[in-house]
Amino acid sequence: MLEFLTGFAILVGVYSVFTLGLNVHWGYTGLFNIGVAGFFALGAYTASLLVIRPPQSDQVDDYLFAGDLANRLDALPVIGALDLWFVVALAGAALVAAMVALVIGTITIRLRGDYLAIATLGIAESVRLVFLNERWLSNGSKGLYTIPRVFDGIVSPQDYDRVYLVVVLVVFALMFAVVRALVHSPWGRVLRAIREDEVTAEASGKHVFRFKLQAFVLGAVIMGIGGALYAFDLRAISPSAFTPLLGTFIIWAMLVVGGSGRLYSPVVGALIVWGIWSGSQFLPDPLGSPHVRYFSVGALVVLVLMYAPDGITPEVLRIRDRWLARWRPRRVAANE
Amino acid sequence: MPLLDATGVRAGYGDTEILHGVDMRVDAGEIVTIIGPNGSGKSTMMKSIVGIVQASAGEISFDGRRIEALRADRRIPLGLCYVPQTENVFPTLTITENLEMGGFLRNDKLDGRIREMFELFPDLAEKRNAKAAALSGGQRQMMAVARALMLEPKLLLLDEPTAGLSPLLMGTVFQMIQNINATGVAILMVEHNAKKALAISHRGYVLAMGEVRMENTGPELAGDPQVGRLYLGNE
Amino acid sequence: MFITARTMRSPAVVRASRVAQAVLAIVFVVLALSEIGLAVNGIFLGSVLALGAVGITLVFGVMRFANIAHGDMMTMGAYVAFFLLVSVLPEHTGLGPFTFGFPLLIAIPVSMAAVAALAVGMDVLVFRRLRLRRANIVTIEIASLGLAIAIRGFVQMIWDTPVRYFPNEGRQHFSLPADISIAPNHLFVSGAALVLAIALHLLLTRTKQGKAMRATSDNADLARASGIDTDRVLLWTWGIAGALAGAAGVLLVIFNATSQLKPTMGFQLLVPLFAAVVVGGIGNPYGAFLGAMLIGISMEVSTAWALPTYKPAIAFTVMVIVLLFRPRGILGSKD
Repeated sequence: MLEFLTGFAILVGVYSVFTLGLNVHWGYTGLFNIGVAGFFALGAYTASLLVIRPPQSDQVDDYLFAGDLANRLDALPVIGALDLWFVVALAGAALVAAMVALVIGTITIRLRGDYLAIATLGIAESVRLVFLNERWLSNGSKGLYTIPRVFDGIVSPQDYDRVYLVVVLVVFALMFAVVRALVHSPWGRVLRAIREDEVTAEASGKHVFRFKLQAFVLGAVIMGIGGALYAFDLRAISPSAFTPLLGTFIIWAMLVVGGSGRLYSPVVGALIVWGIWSGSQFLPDPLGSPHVRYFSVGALVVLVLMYAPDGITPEVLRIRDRWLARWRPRRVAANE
Repeated sequence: MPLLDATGVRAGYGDTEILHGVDMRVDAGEIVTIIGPNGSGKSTMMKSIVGIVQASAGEISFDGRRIEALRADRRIPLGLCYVPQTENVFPTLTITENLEMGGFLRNDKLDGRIREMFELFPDLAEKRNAKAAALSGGQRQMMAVARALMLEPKLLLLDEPTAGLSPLLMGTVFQMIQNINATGVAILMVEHNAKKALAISHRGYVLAMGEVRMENTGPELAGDPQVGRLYLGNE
Repeated sequence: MFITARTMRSPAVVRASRVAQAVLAIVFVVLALSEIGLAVNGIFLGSVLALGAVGITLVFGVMRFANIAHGDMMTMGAYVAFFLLVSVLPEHTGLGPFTFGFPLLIAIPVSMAAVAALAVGMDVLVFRRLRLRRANIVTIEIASLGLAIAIRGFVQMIWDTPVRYFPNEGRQHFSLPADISIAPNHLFVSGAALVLAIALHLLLTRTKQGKAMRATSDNADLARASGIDTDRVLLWTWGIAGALAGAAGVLLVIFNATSQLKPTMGFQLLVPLFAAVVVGGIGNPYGAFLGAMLIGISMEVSTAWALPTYKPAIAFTVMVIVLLFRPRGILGSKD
């Protein structure tokens, strides 16, 4: 049970990262990205390919680092013990996601909102098709496996999940802090102004395109890092994890349920949606099937949009405040 | 009894209230002009009368019926038709189709009324199968008015009918407005060329900051030194 | 509502762009002609895409949002037909040169009606309420994403395993000169698509309701100010788009040589469908038809060099290339 909860918590953390990135896109800037899976896959594959050799890599000896970064760095004295390859892998994932976002963003952000949606969907599908078909690079539908554990050798495999949970939480906390600081900065205020009224923002001399592009790249970087975290959790990835359903929709569901444009909504949304998603497998058979899950999460998103457009986070915060008020009535009253 | 009687109309967009309680009336057969600076709520007033903007408070009655709660497409059949300032034609529809849409609510054959419109606006008759997007500025304005006249309204609302037209065409449009009025149609219009518009109007309103500041006969408003200084650029 | 780029273009840039567009058009025609057999297949694929794309573009015209559930509405149409063919209608295959039997001719209109009802239901139960609340466009679009997943989940709950097929029997292809070989089913698919396209054209240009749909798409406020009940127009539009999606779903199944159904078949077509809509000029049904042909031909001709699984990526690439030169699509309006 504890193992299940740890695994569950790790994935909630990973999905919170994606949802945080999507919140930067949609919640704070109004960019309609329905290709989260693309950045997710890019992050996961980039990180994995940086640290391992592609399983059938005979013909790719000159391949970038020829993979295998993990072993090479580990072989170095002193530095080897620090598992720096993990940091390099995250940075690589972030970099590739940023570059792709820069290219798509430059072409489509100037266009109408729907075009960005269609373009991101197209990119996500194209990325998935490349990883599915280019076997030399990604081993096709079998995907990549033998992805190493972080702190292997220091931490025993039995304890890996617990340690990795801490790693995920630390990475999430760092990115959360960055987003939080940015949202409260003048930059964040401009983004909100753009989301509310683009014409006025443009008229008041703000270079709307540049701000939107920056936000698009930032969100993509967060998603790319999320992809890397995902890869090192499951330690085996394949294109089937990056379908529009599993790679994009579920993250939108989390943002919608949490309530977009709120700092804490990624966590609340990821917890609720992933809770329903992975909890439902314990239900008796007809209800526990994945299809019932798709149907019910699809319906949940529609219902939340209709009846609780601000998401569930405000409700959760209200409950929290009520609990806090029971202990510290005055301070909460002052906060309100 | 006035044809159109609006009292205490409040309206706006989202949380921003633009009209703060406007009273206005149009009698049968009148030409009434609303003037006022940009952002004073002139167009919003027109839209709340037609129902494109829903009034949040106040009463609007037309021809003895309360209409403020009705949807736009339920107000039109009562006999009030509206010509917006811009985007007042269906660009990908032909001239004839535009007129058919103007007469959407008529159950009889439209051919007769369309022929009357072509007699009234011969320029349009020549281009009857052209798309409205291909019309010149002046023709477009004619098209827009002709569309609104299809239902033989009792009151025609015109939002800046001469905007963007050359002085020559402006004269034509004002002449057209008087001709239409002569057939018994009351007219409520918003105009920037206040002097010329007031000259052909029976009465006028000066709107500022979402409130009626003055109300008088057309010629007297045009001659009022205060109006001249404040709203007519002291021509 | 939407912000579009208003880049100042010098005459030289405009000329260069025209030359590039002409070159691209020539390249396209030469490639299509050099692989004429594949190009012909592309026209058949284009006919299926057209029925879906026209529906997306009609809905976009009056509601200003790209309906993500459209692909899954097609899937629904296919499975409704499957249900009818297997459980309701008499068993019969091999009508004339086709793999399917006459019951399919009954299943198509019933599927169209069923998906039309689904589409109208979606509008009444979900989209209308969001509109009344003045929800923004993207909220409505996300709701359509939610509906897409819900529809697919529903289809999978009922029909996921085993793999389903329309009743069919194998048939010879017609052989034409120049290595062109045509599956009889493909001719049926194109013929049906053409009939529906002509019917839609007549509806849009000859009937009052059709003209009101075009008017509402042009300018919804003015339509209301003309006394047109735009809520009703919206229902009509959903109904027509749904009917076309239903037909497209059934045709998509018999387009496939094995007549196999997959719960993801509609959603997987979403990228080519959107590409067709955008390439043709979003909101313009004639553009959607043209765009569907262009995308269909590009996808099929590309298989001469690229793996067939890359077809959606090819559709997307063609869309990006067209957007670079014509941000409003080939038949997109200027304003």
